[in-house]
Amino acid sequence: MTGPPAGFASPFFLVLLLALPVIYLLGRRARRDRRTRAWPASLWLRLGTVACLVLALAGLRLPAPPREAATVFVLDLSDSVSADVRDGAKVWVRQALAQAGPDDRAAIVTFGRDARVELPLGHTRDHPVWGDPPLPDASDVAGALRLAGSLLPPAQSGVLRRIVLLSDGNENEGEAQRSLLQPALRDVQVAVLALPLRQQDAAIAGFAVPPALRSGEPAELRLGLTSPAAQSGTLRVWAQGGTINQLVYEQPLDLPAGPTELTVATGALTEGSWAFKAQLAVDGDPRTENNESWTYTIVGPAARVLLVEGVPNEAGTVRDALDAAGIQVERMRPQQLPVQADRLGAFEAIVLANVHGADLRRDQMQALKRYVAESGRGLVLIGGERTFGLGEYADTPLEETLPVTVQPPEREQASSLALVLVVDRSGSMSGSDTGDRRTTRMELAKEGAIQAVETLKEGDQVGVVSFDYSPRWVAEVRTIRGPADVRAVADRIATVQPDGGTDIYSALDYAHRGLQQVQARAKHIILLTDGEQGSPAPFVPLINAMRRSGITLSTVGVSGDIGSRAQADMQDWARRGQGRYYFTNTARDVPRIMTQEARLAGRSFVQERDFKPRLVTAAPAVRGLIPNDFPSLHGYVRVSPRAGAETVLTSDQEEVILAEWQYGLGRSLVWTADAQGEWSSDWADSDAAKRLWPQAVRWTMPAPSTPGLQVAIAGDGAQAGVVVESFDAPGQYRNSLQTVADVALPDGTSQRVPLPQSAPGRYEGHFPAPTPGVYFVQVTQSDPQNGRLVARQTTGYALPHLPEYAVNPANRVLLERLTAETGGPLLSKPGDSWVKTTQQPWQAQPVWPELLGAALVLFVADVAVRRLRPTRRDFAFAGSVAAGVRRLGRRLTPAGPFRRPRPPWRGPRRPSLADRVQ
Amino acid sequence: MSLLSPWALAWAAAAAAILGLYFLKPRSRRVEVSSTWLWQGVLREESARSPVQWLKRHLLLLLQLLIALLAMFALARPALNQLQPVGRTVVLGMDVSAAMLANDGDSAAGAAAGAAAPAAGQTYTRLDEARARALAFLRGPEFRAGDRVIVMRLADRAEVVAQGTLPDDLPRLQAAVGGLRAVAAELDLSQGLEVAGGLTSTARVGQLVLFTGGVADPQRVTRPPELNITVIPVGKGQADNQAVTALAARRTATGDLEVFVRVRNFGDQPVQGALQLRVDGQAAQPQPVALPAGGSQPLVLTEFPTTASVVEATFVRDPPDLLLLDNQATAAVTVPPLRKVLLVGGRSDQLERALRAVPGVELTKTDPQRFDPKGGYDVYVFEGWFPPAPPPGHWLLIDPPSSQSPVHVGGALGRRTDGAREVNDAQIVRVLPSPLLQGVDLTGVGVQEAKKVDLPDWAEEVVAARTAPLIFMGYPRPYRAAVFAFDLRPPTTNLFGRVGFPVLIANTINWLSGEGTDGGEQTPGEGRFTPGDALLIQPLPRATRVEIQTPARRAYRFDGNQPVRFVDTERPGAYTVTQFAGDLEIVRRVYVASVLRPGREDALADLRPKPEVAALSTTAGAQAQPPVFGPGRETSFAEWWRLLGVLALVGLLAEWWWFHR
Repeated sequence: MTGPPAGFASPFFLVLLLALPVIYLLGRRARRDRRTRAWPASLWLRLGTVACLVLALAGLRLPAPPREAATVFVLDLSDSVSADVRDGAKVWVRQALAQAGPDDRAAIVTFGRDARVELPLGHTRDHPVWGDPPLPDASDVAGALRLAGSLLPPAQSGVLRRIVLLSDGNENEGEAQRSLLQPALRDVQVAVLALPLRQQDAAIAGFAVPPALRSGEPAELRLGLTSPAAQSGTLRVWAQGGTINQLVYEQPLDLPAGPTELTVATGALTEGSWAFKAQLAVDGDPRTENNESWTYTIVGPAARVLLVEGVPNEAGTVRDALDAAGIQVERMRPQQLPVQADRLGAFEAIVLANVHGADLRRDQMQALKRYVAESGRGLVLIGGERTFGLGEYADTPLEETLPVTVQPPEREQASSLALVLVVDRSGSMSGSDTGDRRTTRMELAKEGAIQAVETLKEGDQVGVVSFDYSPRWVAEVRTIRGPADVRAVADRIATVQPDGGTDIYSALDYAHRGLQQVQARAKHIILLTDGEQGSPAPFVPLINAMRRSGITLSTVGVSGDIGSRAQADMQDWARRGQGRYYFTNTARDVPRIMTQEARLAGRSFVQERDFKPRLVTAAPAVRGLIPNDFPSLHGYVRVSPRAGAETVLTSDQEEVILAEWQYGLGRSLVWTADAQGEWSSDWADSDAAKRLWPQAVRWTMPAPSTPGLQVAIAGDGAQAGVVVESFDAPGQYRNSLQTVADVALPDGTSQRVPLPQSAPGRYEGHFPAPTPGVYFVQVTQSDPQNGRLVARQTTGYALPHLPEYAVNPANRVLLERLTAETGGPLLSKPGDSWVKTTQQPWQAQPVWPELLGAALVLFVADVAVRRLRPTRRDFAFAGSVAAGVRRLGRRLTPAGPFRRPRPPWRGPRRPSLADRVQ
Repeated sequence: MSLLSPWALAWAAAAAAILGLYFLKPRSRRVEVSSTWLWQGVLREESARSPVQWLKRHLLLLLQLLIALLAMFALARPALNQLQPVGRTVVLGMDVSAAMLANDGDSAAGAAAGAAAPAAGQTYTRLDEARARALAFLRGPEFRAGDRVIVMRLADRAEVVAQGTLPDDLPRLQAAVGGLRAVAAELDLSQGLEVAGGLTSTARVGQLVLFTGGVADPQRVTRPPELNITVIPVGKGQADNQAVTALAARRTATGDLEVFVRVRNFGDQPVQGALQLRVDGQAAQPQPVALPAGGSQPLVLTEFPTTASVVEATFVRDPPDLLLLDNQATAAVTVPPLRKVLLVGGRSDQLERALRAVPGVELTKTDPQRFDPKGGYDVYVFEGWFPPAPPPGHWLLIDPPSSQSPVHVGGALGRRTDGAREVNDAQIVRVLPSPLLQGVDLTGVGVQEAKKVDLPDWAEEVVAARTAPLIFMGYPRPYRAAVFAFDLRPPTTNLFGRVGFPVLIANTINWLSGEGTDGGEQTPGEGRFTPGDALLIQPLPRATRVEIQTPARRAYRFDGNQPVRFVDTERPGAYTVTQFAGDLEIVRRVYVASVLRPGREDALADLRPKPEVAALSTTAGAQAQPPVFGPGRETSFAEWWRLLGVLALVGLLAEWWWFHR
């Protein structure tokens, strides 16, 4: 079967070469005798004739392209190919067999889940009767190619080895492309006849539910339906959990042509494993295997949420809504918020409702940040007048965690600002917190004021008022037009010296009157003092008047000499003035505070107006809410969304009302209105709110999981593999544990599958899963030494229907790859199955037909020479005619760039003499 | 009789040519003398009277015509349809799987079959016994002249190594049996039976005689063919075998190397031995191993060099067990290769951060105006722009431009009014299994706008809207490509905010650069392949040279600008593939040819014969079908062009002699 690279099939015929000297002697003798006019040409022609004939008889084999083909027709008879197409493919194969050459051999392999040899390799030219078909409920193209490769002759046989694959390419077992790497298929050319797509039918293309839910949470089942044409049908959904098996949905449907998405919500589910079955009934559907589908979810214990309220009962409606949704709520004051990860870890999410930043310590904020980013838990922040920019969230770990920054949107930053700094220059300002004269409060206040002025933009206006018993302008309000103006104001601030007492009211009134004369879109006063108002004064009417004039007020208290009452007053002034209140014991903070305040100056943190929230994104938090039915809101805190955050609801000004994002491993969500205050008085008790809060909080929660255990299950329609990753911390593997999987099969029986360790921290096993349905798997890890339970997790694997019946387009890409990798053609005509074009290396081939043909040609030439007896002049004439023809050809060949290029195998042209002379 | 090449009858033109030459007078120099006139008339009269003379006068022409016609018929390949005596078709199925290397071959049975007894201290494998028994079977009395024998080697695939008819081809068949060698693979009995059934399906009487040690997975034989099967078990059926059934190395979070080894005893007696480890060729301290009967011992070993790349484990004991092949295993410690990625555009920080987070990625950022195709990058990422000519590397195109694009953009998808209702036809409706989506959950991902792109011929869909693909990937050749048909920035999509976004980008870059989808994580089993399978290497675009070193320390060198299909992979062990850009090593990767496949160790290392294999025997079993002996007849073609060729040669000699006589 396997021949040498070159040689003779019947070498004993070579003895006939002894005829050559006989012929030579006969020819020579005749020439000497001169009785005949035998020419040397005749002698050589005859010698050549006999030599060719003898070599042909001896079966000379020389390297040549394959001239015989061994072709295995691999025919896809799986269910993804419709019956009429399968019949057509069989006819195509029979036509191809009939057109085979005399030396071509053919075999037929049919395949589905398994592969069968329909016809062994041979010279058969017909195949009228087909044998038993393969199992049709899967397509294993790789297995069929392997079997076909086994039928082909070896690679060294000198035969063109070809597989003609007739398939739609929809493989669902094995990897056809990878199988080409196996030795049996090496150097085998794969030609393809792409079978058309199966006639489409109505089917459930997708059926999904979150794999893990919490007790009390409804399941939202997402269904993808497809239909080849507009038609009617009925969809039914059953829920099975424990002993419950109930129909939860039954509706007639009008299916449009093409894909359709549908969502079905169940009621709240109890803790346990739930399987869902969907069934689509359509009259006259040609294939019903894909009209049923399965999915599952594991319902864990009820979620626990920590509700932190800045003001007691601030979020009572939120708590009620969460309670009603089966979420366990624990309430806490901000100061009580734990910082220990294990204590926070007892809650799946934390809700902060109108909590001021000052009410949270920095370590608490850091703990919240880690809680979200590292522990993967959820944070919901509900706004109010104590939050975001109003609540000193700026530049805190809490702000980093949120999907928004506390800066109001930038669109107003371009507007002009008029800022007046009202700086206390009373005698107490000469005091120092550190004892260093260079860092008196006055010096630091001046430095802060100068830095604040330096942050202003060109076009802004600034003035500085200093006060003791009476106020006066250090620098009257002027427009900043360049560095010179900044320098001039700074020089004026530097001249302020501490002296006298403290009259804050007069100073504010003085600044107010000064600012009233100024034209600017935003007017802001920053009051800095280390003292208290000596006598009672009507601050509230003054501040209200300022607000009416469009002037906002921020207050900065420096030094612990300020009493708590005064602090509260300053805080109240700032709140009424829609600004911010700062207090610091160390004057070193003053420059930072002043700079920050100057940056924020002129921006309004609050928007108070009546509007209906607008829906931007249909996020899970607002699922089921109807935008047209949203109650009105009356105000909110203005914030800016971060890049990467998702804005769900906006105001009529397109500013954030509800935004969410992924932060590290966890999620956070903000609501910029309040929970049940003035801003959301219409919203708080609405159905929308009752639906929003549980959905929003649940969205932030992590999926229930067992710490240190990851279970992945994947199946192929025959069996499912379980891979368990076990670790104490990521990358710290748990080894040598006894691991088993208890599998609850769809038929109600169960099976225990051992999962032996296969790698550090990894345990693997598999179980048969050939039937559509849900397989619940409980993985248990225990210490083999003492039997102590280490970890346990329940998960599942759903086989919606066999992959063969999935609604997929024909996988033409795979078919083209198979041809491209093997140099095979894409076929259309049966006869092309035998085309011998190939890139296969040359092998030893019998050349007797060529030798015999050559012998015949030489013989006729010999006869011609002897009959015509050409003279030397005839040969010379023939030579000159040939030369003339060559010359004519050269003349007709275009010169220059149109001249035919020199063939590469002739190598570079040798330089002519003329070239060398030049 | 039939002609296999009837078109060759066109060679009759040669005879016509010869005849035509005879219509031309030979051009002789005419010299007239008186005597010629006298004799010319006498000769003409005499030849006209005698047929012999006519024949003599035209014999040359007749011979020439005969020669031409003989050659023509020979070229037409005449063949006789004849009934030839044939007997049974017997397939000798020779199990050459790895388990046949077990040293419990029955030398006495082999000697009884006529084989030479092994020398003292020399092992005698099951395959040795199988060969001896098969040779004896071929010489046996049950064969008759005309019986056809097919020798088939069976391992992970079935292969016909010789076929012939007895007694003529007996030497060839014996040579084929004698030349069988075992391969490092398990036995796929299912395929062997299917091929044997196919080979005998057209035979008058077919039979499979299976010489096997019985180590196979009988569950894979779902539908045995309707065939007479005789199973001839070889070996003593002993079970004393141990194997390294698992070996994997992973790095911990601190970067330390942790190695897991499992040694399993398939025998029915407890054994003790030692596990020898070699890390990058350096021997480590042997670990004592005590294995109960039928049990296994897992070991977790640490304290290896953090730079280790190859770990080899060998179980040794004295005396050795039955099968040495499975006592050794190799594991590779993979590290993500360095891939140079160029981001052209960089509209958002999120994409840049996601690209930088892919292990092994060295990111450079530029803008379209400064794009230089000669930069020497492995992957090019374009945002909203594509160069006039495709770059010299794999590419990812995000938000394809409407013009100067490698894909045809035929419009836009997004929110629109469909009759009375508003719909978004850019929304995801179809998600297909893809390496790009491994570990990526697209639940809740919305797309508000996208380009309406026609799916190119070279691409396959990954994510699609109702009427057009949103994400697709493929091989536009010579490099790989992936396309995201939408702008990644919000509000076009909320993909940025999803935890799966960095995974999607990592998967895409890994797939484009030919890496796995694991992002360089030390996944056990990655880079493993079956000995004998080709190793397909897709060099990085900037690689100029690829060097492969085999476990036998043989080094091969390949051009780096095309895929390498490496086939010298019969030997189990580590194959180190190194890619160079010039003289600079850019990637070193270890692939392991592994004998034992995870989860299928029993099919190779458990040497006890499976009773289900012996039960396949139908001629000796309950459903015995006695074979029919003696010759029958079968139609065949007998070509006889050689006879015509010999006659033509004789004619040539005769014509030459006659011409020169």
